[in-house]
Amino acid sequence: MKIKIIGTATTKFGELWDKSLEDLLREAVDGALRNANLEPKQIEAVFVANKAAGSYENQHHLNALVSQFFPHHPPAIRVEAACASGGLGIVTAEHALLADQYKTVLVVGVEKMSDLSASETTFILAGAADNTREYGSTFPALYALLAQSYEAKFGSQREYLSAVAVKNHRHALTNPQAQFHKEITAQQVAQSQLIADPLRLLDCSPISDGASAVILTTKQVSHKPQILGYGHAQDSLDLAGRSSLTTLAATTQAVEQALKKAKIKRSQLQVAEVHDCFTIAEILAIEDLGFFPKGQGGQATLDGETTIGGKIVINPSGGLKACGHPVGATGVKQIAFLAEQIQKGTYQYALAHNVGGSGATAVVHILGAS
Amino acid sequence: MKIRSAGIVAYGAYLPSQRVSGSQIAQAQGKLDDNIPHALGVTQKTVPEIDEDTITMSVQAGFQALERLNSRQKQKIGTLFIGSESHPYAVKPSASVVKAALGLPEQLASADLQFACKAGTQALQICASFVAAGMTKLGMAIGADTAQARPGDVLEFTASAGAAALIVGKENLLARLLATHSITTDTPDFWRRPKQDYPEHAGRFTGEPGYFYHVRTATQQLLEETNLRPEDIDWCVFHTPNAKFPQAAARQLGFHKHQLKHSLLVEEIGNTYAAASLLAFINVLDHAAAGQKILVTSYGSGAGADSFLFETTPLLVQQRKKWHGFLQEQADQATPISYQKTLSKLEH
Amino acid sequence: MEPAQYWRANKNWSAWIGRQGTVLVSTVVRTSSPQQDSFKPFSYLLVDFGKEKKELLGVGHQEFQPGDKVVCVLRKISDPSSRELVTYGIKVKKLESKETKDH
Repeated sequence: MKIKIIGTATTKFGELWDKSLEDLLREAVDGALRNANLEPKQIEAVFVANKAAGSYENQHHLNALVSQFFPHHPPAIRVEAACASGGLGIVTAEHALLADQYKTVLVVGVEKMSDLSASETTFILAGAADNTREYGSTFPALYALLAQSYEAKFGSQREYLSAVAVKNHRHALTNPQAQFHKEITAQQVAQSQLIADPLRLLDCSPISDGASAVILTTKQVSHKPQILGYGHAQDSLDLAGRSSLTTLAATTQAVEQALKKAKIKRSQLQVAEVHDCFTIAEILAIEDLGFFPKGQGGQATLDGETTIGGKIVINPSGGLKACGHPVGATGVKQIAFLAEQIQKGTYQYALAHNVGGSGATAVVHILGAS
Repeated sequence: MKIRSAGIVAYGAYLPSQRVSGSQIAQAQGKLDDNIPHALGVTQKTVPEIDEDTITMSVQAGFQALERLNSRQKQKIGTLFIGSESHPYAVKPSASVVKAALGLPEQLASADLQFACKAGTQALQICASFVAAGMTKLGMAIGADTAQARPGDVLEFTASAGAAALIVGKENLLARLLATHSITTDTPDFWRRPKQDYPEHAGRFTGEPGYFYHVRTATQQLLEETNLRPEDIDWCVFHTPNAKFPQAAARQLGFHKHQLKHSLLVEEIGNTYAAASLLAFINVLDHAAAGQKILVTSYGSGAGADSFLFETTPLLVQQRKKWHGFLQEQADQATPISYQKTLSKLEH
Repeated sequence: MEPAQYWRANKNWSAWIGRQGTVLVSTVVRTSSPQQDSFKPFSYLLVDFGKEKKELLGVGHQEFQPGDKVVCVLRKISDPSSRELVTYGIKVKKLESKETKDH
């Protein structure tokens, strides 16, 4: 059974003051239906990926909210896995398709974050960690601990971290949906405000609103991108339980699963959208996904190996850093973006990497042209 | 009141590590020329860290006391009384939180006390009475404060933070309690109404009608009751709102300067309010030889005084050899901070 | 913190207070959520206690290096509103004296 991506749509990502959560959902859903040239009633089930509408908007029951966009009220499920909500939303849809419960389904990821203050957002996002054991932890603090561990093992990372941010901002210039269309310099990154040592403001992905939707089908269609394989792995929620602080084991496990299912070799991958919630996360990702040896991801980035003309293009959309990171939407947007690139003929094989928390959940998808 | 069998079986002290100097405070107040630190005899004071309060300091002092107690004895602690002017709650006892943190038994008689700077010694006296009456085998008394003073007020030079914990029992005494005596009068020298951040004080009225009358009277009555004269006492401790008052009280009572040695830590740490007399007593205990008499008189505005007569034992000298983290060491481990930093407080 | 959460949490305090460990990795947090705003900058650490590892806040504004020996103490872990319960919890502080170091 082959799963093909027959429709995609992504809203602009950014501080979208005049768009509500529902506006974003409608825009993505309508856009995907138009892109697929489908009638609403052809969608048999809906999967909604979202992290925190309950906290941000006091909006629960998102599955029902989205189901009512369709006149026939298809069955709908909401999936939450912190920043991996999108990727896991796709996985949930895949399970339903592979079990032949449905033939054509829609997955939409959404997050509306800008209505609250930055510090309130920090508090809400910190819920992605174990809030009873890690009192006082924030996302930046957790990734800062990972960055510190990485630095202790492989030496100072400042120029490498900055190189990730600079590259992703440059990539975003050609992505109309990206939150930022502004180049930054390594010096600007290195001099931006310290958030949690050594991570600075420009090492961190922004607070963003946005939505993205994809329509998946197991029906016979030609010339549409296909999901060749996926992997889904977990690790301990808190850092104390990890076997290593310089590797996200969930990533390494998920990518092996995906490659095995897809039956392709790693070297065939030409492009990857990876989870750069912080610059250090991209360096860990490109190593843990096996593109570069452990400890060399930073140098590879600095040497231009992860941009166009290099070994593998990482985050051509601008990544979470420059395209933006509406938490629940990111995993779906990665799939949508890569599917669009494959449809255009830019790439043949692509990988999407979506992480929840500080590495507790990892979802990897491999897409290919059919 | 003569006590038949009760005394100190263990004790602990805690001082925050930050210090602000008297000259920094004088500069902030625009009073560098007035030489106030010299007049008070206090060169610097302790400043708690932003996440410390009376409860957290009480836990530190209590923990040290428990470390010095035979661990099997912890379950015999049947009372916990904590005296302070800065209990974190108006309603909910500091004692309950400290009990949880120290893992004291659930079978515990406890409450918080307030009586200005004598709340800690009153807690000690209450524990001693429980023990002497046979109502508990061991009792823990704590005096602790994060004292507050209105910026610009002279009290700013001395209002500091610290905690002292003493465990009272009948056996294995480090210092036997021979007698204790208290007085109380309605003397309004210093007070704080509930919704006020800072206390009021009555200036020079706090001297003779306040401190000196009560310290003198309680001490004299204790000496009378025990048939002792100042020269029979090895060490004396008088409450330390500054370094000058206890020295003046000593002179008035006929004690000599050398008897005050070790009780004037106030010079380096300021006035720790409900902990002050207990910490001064602890510093004496840390230095005393066996068989020495120690007289301790605290003073609490409002007003009252508690006076105690202790006698050290050979066990004190023996046990001290195993300890670490002595009060003088903590006083010496000072991290100087600017006056500006002393102003950062939690919003709530 | 809700009363029931506080009450469940305080049962663990006495098991931790006084326990010593070694710092594995630490960071200084300079931007935080509202409850810890008043404490910044503060340290967030992963500490090895031998039988287990634990993520903890550092006391006050203390900064740590990997390898530092630390001890668990009770401190305030957040600054809630003036109507809420005072939230205490376990933090770590360096075991050595806090003298200013010779540079």
